[in-house]
Amino acid sequence: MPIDSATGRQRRITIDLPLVMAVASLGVLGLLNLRSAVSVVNLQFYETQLTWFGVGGLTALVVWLVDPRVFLRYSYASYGLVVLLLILVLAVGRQANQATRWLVIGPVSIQPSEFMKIALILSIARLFHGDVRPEPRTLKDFLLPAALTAIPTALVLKQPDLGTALIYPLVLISMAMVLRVRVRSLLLAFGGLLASLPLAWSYLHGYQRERVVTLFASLFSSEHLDVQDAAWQTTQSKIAVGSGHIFGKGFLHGTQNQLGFVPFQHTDFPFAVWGEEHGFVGSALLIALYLFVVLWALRIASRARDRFGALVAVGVAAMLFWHVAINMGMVLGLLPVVGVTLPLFSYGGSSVLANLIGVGLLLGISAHRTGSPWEGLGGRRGF
Amino acid sequence: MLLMAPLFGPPGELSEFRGRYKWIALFVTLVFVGLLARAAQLQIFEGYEYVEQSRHNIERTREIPTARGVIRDAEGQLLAYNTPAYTAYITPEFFDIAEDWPTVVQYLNLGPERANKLRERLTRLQGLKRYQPYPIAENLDDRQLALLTAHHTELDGLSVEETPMRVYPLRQLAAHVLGYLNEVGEAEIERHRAEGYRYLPGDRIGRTGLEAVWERELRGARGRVTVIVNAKGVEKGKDPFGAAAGRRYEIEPIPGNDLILSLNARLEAIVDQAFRGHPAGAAVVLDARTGFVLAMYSKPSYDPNAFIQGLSLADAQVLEQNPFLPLHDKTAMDHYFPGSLFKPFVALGALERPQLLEPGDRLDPAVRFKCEGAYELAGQRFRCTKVHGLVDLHEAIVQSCNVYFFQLARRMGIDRLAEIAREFGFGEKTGVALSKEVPGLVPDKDWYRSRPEYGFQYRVGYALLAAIGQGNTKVTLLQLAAAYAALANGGYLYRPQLVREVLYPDGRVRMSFAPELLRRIDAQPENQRRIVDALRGVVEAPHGTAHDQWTPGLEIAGKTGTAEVARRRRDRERRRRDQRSTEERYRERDHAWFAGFAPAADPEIVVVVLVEHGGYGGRYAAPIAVEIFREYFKRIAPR
Repeated sequence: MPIDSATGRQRRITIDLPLVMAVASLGVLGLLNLRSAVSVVNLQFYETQLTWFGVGGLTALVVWLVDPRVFLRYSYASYGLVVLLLILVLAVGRQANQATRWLVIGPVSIQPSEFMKIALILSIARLFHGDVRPEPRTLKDFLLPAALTAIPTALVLKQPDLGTALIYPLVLISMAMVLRVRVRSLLLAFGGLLASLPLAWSYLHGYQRERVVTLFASLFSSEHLDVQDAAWQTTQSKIAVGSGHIFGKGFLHGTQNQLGFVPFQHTDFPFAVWGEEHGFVGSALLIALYLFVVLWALRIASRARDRFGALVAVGVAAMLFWHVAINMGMVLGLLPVVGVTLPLFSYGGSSVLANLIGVGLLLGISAHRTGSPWEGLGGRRGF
Repeated sequence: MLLMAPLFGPPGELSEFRGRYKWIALFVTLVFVGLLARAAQLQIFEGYEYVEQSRHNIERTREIPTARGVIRDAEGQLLAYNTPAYTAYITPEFFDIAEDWPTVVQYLNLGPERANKLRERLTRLQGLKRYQPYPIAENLDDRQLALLTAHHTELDGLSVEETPMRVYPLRQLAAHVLGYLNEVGEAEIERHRAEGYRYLPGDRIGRTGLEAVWERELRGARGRVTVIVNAKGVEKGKDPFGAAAGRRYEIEPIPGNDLILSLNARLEAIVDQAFRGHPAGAAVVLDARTGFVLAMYSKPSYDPNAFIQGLSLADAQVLEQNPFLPLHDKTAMDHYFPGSLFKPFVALGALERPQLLEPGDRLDPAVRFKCEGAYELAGQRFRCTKVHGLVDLHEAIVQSCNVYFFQLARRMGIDRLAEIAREFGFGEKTGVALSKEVPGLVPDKDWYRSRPEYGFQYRVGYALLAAIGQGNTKVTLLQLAAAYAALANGGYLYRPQLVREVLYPDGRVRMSFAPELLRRIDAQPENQRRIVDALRGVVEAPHGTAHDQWTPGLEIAGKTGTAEVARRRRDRERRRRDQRSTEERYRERDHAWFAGFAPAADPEIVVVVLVEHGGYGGRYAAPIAVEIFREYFKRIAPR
């Protein structure tokens, strides 16, 4: 029987059933969808993914059982380790699709940038956990976490992997949102972000700029752009989702997917496959499931026993949220094409594992919550 | 536990986060609702549009070739049919021309000239045509076929399909009648489409002869099938989605209709055999009772099979530069002076309109004119073939006396000559269903008065020349055949016809053609009989111009002719001075004619023979005609 470290009493381990069920649903649907998405590519991918789900599930179980404070303790260590791995990737990583993202260890390839998300969340949470202040924070207080974020961001950009690099700062900003910040500092940060946009533009690769242009062109014009690369991907993705209509074409019956019109259907565009085969009903269900998981994670945060738990839960919620929002936005033609995975739907062992570790963390925090269900919410019900 | 204690913030510190979650939750919810709204927009409100687009993505309309109708002769022998052949196609949109073209050229063993032409053509195709397979090589041989089928998966956009290919088993024989096919031009495609007939680049279309005239009966209609393709345009042979996908016929191809001709292939061969030793000439054999064409022969000829795949430039030049004009159908595309073959019509014209002759000089067939070897008119001498002495109408035809006809012509005038000629169909197209038929020429006073080269003046001399089939009178063999058939059958001028029936592919009769009477010749039966008698005399009478060819058992009535090729007399002087080449001397020789029918008492067939630059008709053309008659009654229609 685990011992509650705060009270020293034995306590029953609780399981957050709604979260488990929601995540399990997402996992099953994601696997099925992947089965359809890779049926024209290589069914081997499906089996690999299944294995990773097993590994991820077991890992999540372990993470759930471990007291979150252990993670607090090893947060910087994990951060350091993953940064080392990221450097290693650039040195000896495997190249695919003109990007070097993978480390090959025996039969498995791992993508350290995925684990960086978890390590970063833990580290930022630890920073703010110990940094308690009565007055609102200023920009100066964010220098350290910003530096902590900048290192992996730069390393990942170098791979290059714009999508993942985008997630790190978004996670930081999201976690900062639960802190009290001076209004002036907020405005300043926001202004600085806007001002740096042209600079960011100049750092984009040619194909990335093309994607952005394509997106804006397709947002403001009903005509489909010429069938070329980025425009082709967005157009075909929209056709896939749209042609799913209300009830979809049925499992394994999406023509856009099965006949190869949807690009990267198993990695970046599984939602296009889903939308095509299951229609608006399916899309709504999936959006609802993700929304539930994110909101539930926030609820877990709000009920966390300590600042660390709350911050980690917010971080995981942010990680999931941004992945879903960016990925779906891209598939639905609202955002430019960037390689951001759809949690538990996209093919990729590291991604699955990282997401399930995140879920494990949530479960652990939920299990180690404070006695009062609404503590931290100022006694008010709801968020 | 103590070790960990400093890491815990006081619980009160959690209050910093208070009140934040709901804003974050609100933000998250709003974003997700936005996504949901967008999904609704795409999937519900614009759903139908995208369903349409996704269908458009995977459906390709593929053409199914059809089989062109066959052409058979009167005895059922195939004159034009289709044989399975393999064609290699390239769909430009899916073909990597930079990468794969050299491989294809190598496999197909294409010459550099053809390879460049094709490559240019493929790159030039635009728009929807880039999705249509374009034929690059037809009638693949075994080696090409094996190479392409073995490597066809490595070459995106390349396909091999079985397409029927046209074959003309008689080769040169009857080539002009049958015609040939070649590739349809881009402008033509547009023109035919406007009339509701669909052709695609690379299609073959009837270019000449019956293939051209009966194109719309023979062509059939291509079928169309919708197939499912993947993003690379590869047809999914295996049907991954059940009944909804795979091959779905929209329009079945309709095979073309068959033509049954009146033409007899064996008779064509007989005619060809009869022409041995003569480099150029033509012949027409008609059924005298119906006007149906039994043989149409033009020499030299060409092999239409060579045209199907597009003639090489060199071969085309050889054909074009051949002085004997192998591409011309000499039976209908060219016209000639009829020479003495015209005389029977002049004679009938005179017999029928005695009142037209000068007063007190009414024509009686028994009236004789004296032939002294020439006729003088206004100081000009019009020559005869020899001195015939006193001849009546009968003898004038039998011996082909020009002077007698000069006398008639002077009295009749050119307009009456023209009138009787037109009565027999000269000067207008017979309307035989062949492309490029010429009408010939029947001049009259008005014609001469409209011509600057004759000073807008008519002279009596022109009538004299017209009466012996010279001057400006031009006729085609087909016109002569129809006219002689009318003489033979008692005055029924039929339109020469080649096609007896058009059959549906299943053999049912679609069209059947009856003899088509153009007109009854307006002439007394008695007068017509006189002409026929004279024509019998030509062969039977000892002094007849074709008496050499009299054959026991063959009752042939006919007329010989020797048409002068212009400017002979004037050149005669020069010829003596310089040595002329064999070819030039050949070119100055007269055209030899014979037209006749048999059996004379109850004529079945009419034969018209022209030996170009053959010389004297009785000597060169008549034997050919007689051989045709003889073989016809021996082998085709034994009596």
